[in-house]
Amino acid sequence: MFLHFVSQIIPSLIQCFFLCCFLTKGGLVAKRIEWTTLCQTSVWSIQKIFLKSIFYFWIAPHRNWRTKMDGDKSPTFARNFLDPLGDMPGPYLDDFFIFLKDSNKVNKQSNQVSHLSYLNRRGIDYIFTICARLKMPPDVRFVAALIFDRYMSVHVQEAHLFINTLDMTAEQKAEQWTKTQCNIIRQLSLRVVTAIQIASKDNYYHDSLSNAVTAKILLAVGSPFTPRAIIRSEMRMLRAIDYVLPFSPITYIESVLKTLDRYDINLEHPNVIWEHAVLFLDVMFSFLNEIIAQLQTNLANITSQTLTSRKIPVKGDWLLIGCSCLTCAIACVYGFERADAVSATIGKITSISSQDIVDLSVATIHFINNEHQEVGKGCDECTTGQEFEKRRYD
Amino acid sequence: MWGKLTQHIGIWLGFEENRRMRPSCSLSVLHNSHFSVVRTSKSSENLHRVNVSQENLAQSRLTVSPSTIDRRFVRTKKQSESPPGKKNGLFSLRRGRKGKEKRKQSQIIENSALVGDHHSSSSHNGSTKQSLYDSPPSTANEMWNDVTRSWHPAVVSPSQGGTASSSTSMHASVKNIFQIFRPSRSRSTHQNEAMLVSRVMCPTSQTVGDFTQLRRRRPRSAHFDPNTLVLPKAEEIPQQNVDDLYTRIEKLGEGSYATVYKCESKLDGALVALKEIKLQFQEGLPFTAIREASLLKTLRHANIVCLHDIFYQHDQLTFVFEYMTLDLAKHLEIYPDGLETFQIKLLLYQLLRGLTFCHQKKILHRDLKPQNILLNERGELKLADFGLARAKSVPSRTYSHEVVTLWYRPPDVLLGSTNYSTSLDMWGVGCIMAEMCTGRALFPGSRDVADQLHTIFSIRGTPDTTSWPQVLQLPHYNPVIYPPKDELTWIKVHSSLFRLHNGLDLLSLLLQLNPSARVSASLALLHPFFSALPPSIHLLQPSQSIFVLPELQGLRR
Repeated sequence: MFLHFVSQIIPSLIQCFFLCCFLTKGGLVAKRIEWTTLCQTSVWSIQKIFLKSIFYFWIAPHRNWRTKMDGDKSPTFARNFLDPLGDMPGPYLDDFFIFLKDSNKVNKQSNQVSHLSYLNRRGIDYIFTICARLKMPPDVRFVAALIFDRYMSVHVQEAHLFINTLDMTAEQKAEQWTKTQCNIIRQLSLRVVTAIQIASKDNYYHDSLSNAVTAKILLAVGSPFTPRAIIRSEMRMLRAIDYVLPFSPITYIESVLKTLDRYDINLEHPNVIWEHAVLFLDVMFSFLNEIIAQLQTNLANITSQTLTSRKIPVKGDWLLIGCSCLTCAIACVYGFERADAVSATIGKITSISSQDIVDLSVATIHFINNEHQEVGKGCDECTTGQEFEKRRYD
Repeated sequence: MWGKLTQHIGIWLGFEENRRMRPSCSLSVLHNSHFSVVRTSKSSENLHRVNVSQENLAQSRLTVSPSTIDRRFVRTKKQSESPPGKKNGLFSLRRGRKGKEKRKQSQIIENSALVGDHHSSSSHNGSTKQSLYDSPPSTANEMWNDVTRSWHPAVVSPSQGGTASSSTSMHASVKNIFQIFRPSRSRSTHQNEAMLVSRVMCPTSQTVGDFTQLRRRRPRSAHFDPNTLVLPKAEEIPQQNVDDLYTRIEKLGEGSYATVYKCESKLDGALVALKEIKLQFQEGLPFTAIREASLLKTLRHANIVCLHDIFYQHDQLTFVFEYMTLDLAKHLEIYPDGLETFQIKLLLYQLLRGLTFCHQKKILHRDLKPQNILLNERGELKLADFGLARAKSVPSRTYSHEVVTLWYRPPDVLLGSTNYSTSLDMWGVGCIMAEMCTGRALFPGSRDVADQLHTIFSIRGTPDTTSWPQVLQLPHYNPVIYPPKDELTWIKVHSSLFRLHNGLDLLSLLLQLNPSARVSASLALLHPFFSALPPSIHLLQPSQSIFVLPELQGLRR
């Protein structure tokens, strides 16, 4: 009896322990390694570091996971750009691309789309770390962030509107509003994990998060809820976002990347570029506001000479963000000249001004360099991914 | 107002050092387990009131008089009345710490990363700040903190303390894990804790689960149902009752995860189909339901079934679909020798039209079979049951190969390919086309995958490795098991297939063993087989049925 109990507990113990370790250390250190090592300006060193971090943060954990899930049967998240077998047939790809551009245009203009206004860097880190610990494919974390953000904006607006319409004095309303805020804050972890659950169910056939697992996760992050509460939360979030799940921003990246070889640009390692671009998308998600600020300063420096002010609306324009991630990735792998050339074609394909794409990518890389100089000083431990890996499993 | 809220979220997510949250006294009282949350109205899930549960108080071994609780409740400032002694348990302890808090203001920020006290202090909401900044002065309090430190603040504070604090908190959390699963009896060695452990847990809210076997002291958040405890008054969404809007007429069918009823709207008498999703408590919302809802919300087409509305009540999810008279399988039962050729053309064209629309949005149906193709009395065909459907990524990516009912599953997927594309659905279209012509299934495998493959290869011939070299890499491909066979002509398969004429060419294109040789839906629409249909049929809007064309008006049944 006792043994049985122990054997049941041990896996969850281990799981909790790793979750705990990673939540305390992993998420941030993962970022820091990139910043620390990005100090070298040479393209090749950046590439090396990126490959290393890709290996240690994405490939290595997933490799364990794959052996755990009886080998080849489990579907992997990796894209294979070189295998023509599972490609979208050409005509459909073109149709889809037009549809993608249209929906992006509609999204930009409407308020119905997520602009990540409810997620700062910590929030994104929180979501991403949980996803990383659960070994979710990369789509899940982006979709979860978007679902969460969309839900928050709808929910907070509804609550605010409701309190406004109450028959109360202003003070009472303010008091109610404070209470509501407190409740919303208390439920944040539940909402975050539910968003991840919904995203995993959308993306995954075999390994979507069940309620029992979700309850365990919530217990591990320190705010347990019952399965019934989780079901209700799931329903509530779906109802708030009107059952429309957002596009994964990776879709934009891979559609553009796939369309590139129809324009006679043959990138030798599309899979590597894809992985780099996803990493840059991570950075974009975490530091979107900072990168936009960097972009504005960069633009201001240019425009002071030419006296023409140019503004690039970045938020909500996932196509532009995706294109910039792609350009950054190409710059990392092949160097800046190649990136310049390709970005012109990307501009042609997506009918976005290629200057915008280049400006945003440059701002991103600037930002990463600056960030390194600030953050990197305080971080002399964990200089290599290998060391980090050792520490994580010690 | 928004800025304020996002600030608060920032606090929760780890910006405590910059901005502090104002403790909300009125709600903190809720976090005592002696107060139960009582549901007053069934219709509005958020309507709640707080009352003191007297029985629990009587049972409680806490030596706190009800008047003390009342005083807590109204939050008078007479806290000094009861002297802060150890015997007073929870309340006095809090009070003592509160007093010390003022004195310890200067140490607060340095210690905030280390003190991971989440649920030991007075409340969750108000105390996010309070608990995080409480610096435990006495040894008793330190023990307390050791035991009750949750991982939650560790989540919040990885950045604050830098390297030193994070490593200590890691050790602390390791310790915690063992303490949590330790039987709580052992804790009674500490006097302070004994009193707290002995509190009676009284979960009365429906959604409160019993974690007591795991840990005697549950965190505050576990006592409350987050979905019901948003406001003291009913919040935004009033629940609509499905039964108020629709009367059930008959049960149409029952699947593994849903039951479908034919219903009539009480408002305008329109017929609808209600699909009631069974919720598995362990699984939560089935992913099939989530995918079906999210995909059908975006797919609006004349040949795709229309999702009118979604209801959620009594822990049950209900989809309201437009009512369709019957499915293709039942329709074919009426015509056991197959449909007439022009009917086949009309139905097949509509099927391909709906499928093209899905594929253009890179959505694979993945469960195409006559049972999932619905017909109405006007002769319109609509695709239904998008439970297995999913959005495909643009480049190759592996997916589950256990999709599509066996009879309609393409040979590459049967052989274990997980790397499929829109061609997956096209094989099913070919099977359905032949079935509409002959009245029975083309590849009725009787047992398993191997038998299904035998059935397919006996008609279509075994795969030719010169024209389809990739077959050699498929995991279940073994030329020894499948003796080489030649492709049969369609006339030998079934004599009535002959009446398709140039349709036989289309059938061969659809039923190619090699997935990359299979014709796509948009190309199939242009096949000469459909030349009898008016040419303007290609120019219709997605929302228009093909029967709006004047040439086809007469064919409407």
